[in-house]
Amino acid sequence: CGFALRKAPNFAFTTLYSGLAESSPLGVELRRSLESTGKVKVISDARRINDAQVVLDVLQDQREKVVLSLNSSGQVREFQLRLRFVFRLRTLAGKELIPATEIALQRDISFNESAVLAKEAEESLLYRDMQSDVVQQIMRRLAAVKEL
Amino acid sequence: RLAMLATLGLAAAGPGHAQAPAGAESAAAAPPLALKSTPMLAEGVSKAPEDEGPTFVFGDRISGRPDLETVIEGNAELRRGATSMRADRIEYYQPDDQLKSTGHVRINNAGNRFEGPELQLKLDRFEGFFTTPRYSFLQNGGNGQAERVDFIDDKHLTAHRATYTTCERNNEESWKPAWELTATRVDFDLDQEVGVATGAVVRFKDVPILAFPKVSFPLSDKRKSGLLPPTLGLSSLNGFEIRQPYYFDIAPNRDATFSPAVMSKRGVDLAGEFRYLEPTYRGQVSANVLPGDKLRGRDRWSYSLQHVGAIDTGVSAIGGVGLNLNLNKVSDNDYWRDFPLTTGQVTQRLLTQDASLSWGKGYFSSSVRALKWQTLQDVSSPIIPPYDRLPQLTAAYTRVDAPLLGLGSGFDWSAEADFTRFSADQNLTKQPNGSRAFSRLQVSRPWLAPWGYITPKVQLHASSYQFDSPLANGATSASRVVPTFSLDGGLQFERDASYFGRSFTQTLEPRAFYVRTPYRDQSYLPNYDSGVNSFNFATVFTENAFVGNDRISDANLLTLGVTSRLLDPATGAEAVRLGIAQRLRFDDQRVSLPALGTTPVPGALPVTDRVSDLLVGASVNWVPQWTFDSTVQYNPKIRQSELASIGVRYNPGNYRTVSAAFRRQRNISEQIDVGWQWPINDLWGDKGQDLGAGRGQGGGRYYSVGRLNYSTLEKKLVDAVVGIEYDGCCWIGRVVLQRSQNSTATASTRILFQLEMVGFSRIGSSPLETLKSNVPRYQYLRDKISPPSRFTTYD
Repeated sequence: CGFALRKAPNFAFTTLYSGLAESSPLGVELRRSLESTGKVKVISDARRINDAQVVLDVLQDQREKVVLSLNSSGQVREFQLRLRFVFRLRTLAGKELIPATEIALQRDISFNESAVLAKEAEESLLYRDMQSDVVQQIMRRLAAVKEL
Repeated sequence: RLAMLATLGLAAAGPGHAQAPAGAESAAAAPPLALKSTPMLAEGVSKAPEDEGPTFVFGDRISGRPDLETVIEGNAELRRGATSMRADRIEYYQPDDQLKSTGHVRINNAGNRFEGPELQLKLDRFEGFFTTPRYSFLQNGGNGQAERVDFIDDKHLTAHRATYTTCERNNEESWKPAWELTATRVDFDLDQEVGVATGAVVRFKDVPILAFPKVSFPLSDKRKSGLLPPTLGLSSLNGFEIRQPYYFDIAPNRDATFSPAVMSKRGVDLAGEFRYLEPTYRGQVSANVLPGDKLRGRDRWSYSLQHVGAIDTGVSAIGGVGLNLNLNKVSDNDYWRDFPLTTGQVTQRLLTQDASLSWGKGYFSSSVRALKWQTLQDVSSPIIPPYDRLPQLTAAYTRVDAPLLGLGSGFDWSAEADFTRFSADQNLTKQPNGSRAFSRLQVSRPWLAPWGYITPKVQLHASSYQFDSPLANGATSASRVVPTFSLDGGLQFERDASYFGRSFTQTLEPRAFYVRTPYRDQSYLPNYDSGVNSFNFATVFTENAFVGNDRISDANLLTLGVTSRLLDPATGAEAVRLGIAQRLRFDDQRVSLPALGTTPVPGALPVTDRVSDLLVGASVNWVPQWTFDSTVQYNPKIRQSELASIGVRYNPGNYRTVSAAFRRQRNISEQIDVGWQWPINDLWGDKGQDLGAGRGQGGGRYYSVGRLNYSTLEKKLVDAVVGIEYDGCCWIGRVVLQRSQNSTATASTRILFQLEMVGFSRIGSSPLETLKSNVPRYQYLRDKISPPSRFTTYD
């Protein structure tokens, strides 16, 4: 019904500077995804920012854990993990290609004090999952930039 | 200046209009000036044009003698740099740079304005005095009047017998500010942007509410030492309570807050917090002590320390070592109940003492960790304590897209090892403490293309246990090796589509995930850190049904899923996402978790279903104001949802947000959760002004804010915070009602009142800080905003 295998995305740029720290897991994954297309080189060394055609500014990269529900004796039974990522894409000269854009994701996780060690591991699994989701959404948005 | 007065002398008669091109001779020698564009008017005032730039004077009559004096009479006006002055009469004596203005004197210095009958000033140094002036400052609109103001220089002045408020003055004679500080003396430092009042009394609506021998307050939004808004509270537990926090701005990267409180039923509570931020580390320490708590007849205390950072070992071969600390402790088991929400811990009955060191180089990483829990026990709802890790040692070697043993490149592979000593109270856990060592080898080879991927992966999990006391089968040690094979593959299809008059790129992403793990009997092993995965889109595509390392599930199953998204072709934004997934099991899963004490746990039974529950997820972001998110785990056999969560949020603008969610775990809980912030004035059609975030919506407006958590199974409100905020422009009043459950039968309720005098106490702090984390998109009525331009008060 009209579906065709996806073609390789075209990017309007070949070099991108990312403000994400080289050690940040999200930065590593974004770099891998972009470079796996074979069309974009990621620069993360701030001294070489002038070699980049476009700059990805990370305005917010925030993780939150809030109580979602309590049982009738006041104990937490569910948490919500939230990831909020706000970024902007501009040319080196300052022309805004993607205005400040927010990608907000959330996952619910059940909780029990006795199982806190297991929940610790499950939490990092869910954050990794959200992180991959964020990277996929950024990739789609970067590919939608038609010209510099 | 010489030039100016000479010119004045010549133009002594008639309406004067004089200008002196200072340094005209040197300018002639310089190359001709070329015009340059500037994006905006210069906000900063450099000193140079003041001293060297021209001075303009205007007036009905100008008279004087060259080099001695100038007298301007009638609508007199003098301007130089960012300073302008108007008066009935201005006299200027040049030899001693003395200026004297009388009659309706108004002076505007870089946006700060003074107005009164008489001013004497040394113009260059901006030193002198003003009698009975009114004044207003640009930065935060702070204003007042004084018997006399002494100018020390253009950034420092002292007001005697002065008043100060941030309420905006109108032109009516009967005007009275909503709140006002009166002091025998106020020292304003416009450079540091602080005022220091001596002998100060603060009145709200003419009622004195606070008095200080000496108090400092900020003159801008910048972080400054000063009072934070006090909070008055009333609750069955504490009785009447008043808390007055004070903020210390120690350095740009360090601050502290000290907040003492008096509780009528309990005593004096002292709380403090210190935060630091350095290039390689950051953290915060907070502590709280209530000596001789009358409620429990003992001292109550708590502390909390968080530190994240790196330590430079100084050895170049080693480099930096990461240090993480999260230490929390409270004095007794009842602490969480008597001090709700003060520990800053989300799980109030479980506090961590967690310290870890980590080190990595290249592909290698390792860590040492000590984790100890403080479990606050309660007879009515005891907690089986989680295990302490004392210590945990880990090491891992991870390669990505690397060659492997002559098999070619493109492999992701890793080897990890972990040794942990687990201990907890054996009387409560009913299983022996012990040590566990495990290693895990993983090799995968992803083939990636824009249209799809396939990843085969093998894992080998080997573990050995050493127990402090024998297991039920008499063994004091055990070991286990479990191999796992998995194959993950997906395709990506795309097409152009159009729905409801909007065109999209629609994707279709099928995914299949096969896992094969042979059965190994693990039922005799204790469970230290394993738990069953919640069933969701992240866990359904993982190999092990359990998290943690004590149970590795046997599997011969295939997970099938498909996701479809609608993407805006112009921006790539995701408007709709629909996902569905299900597991097909070819063999029973026999590995299960042991029961926890006497309570059954999820995952404690073998899984024999051939077809799992159906997982369906949908999220819609059709327009930015609306978001809809839902996940349902549907059990086809009983035709009911096992798990459902449906949430919707409407956020049409600043200070307007409503979110509602329904969550259900079959036979366990069913809750409705509502959170909101909304201007009440909307009800009678008063929409307010759109001033942007952090400025409110204009004065005289009420806002409602809150979160309610209602259990439909128990027909009971489990958790409630409801508040009303009133924005009176220069003050904000808050009433917050908070009710939290602290046992099945009892709940504590308290009501808090707060008065924030905008611009006097620092902004951004309130008892609603809990709301900030609870109500999605709650916004402060006042937040840090950029200061106004000096040209907004141009005279």
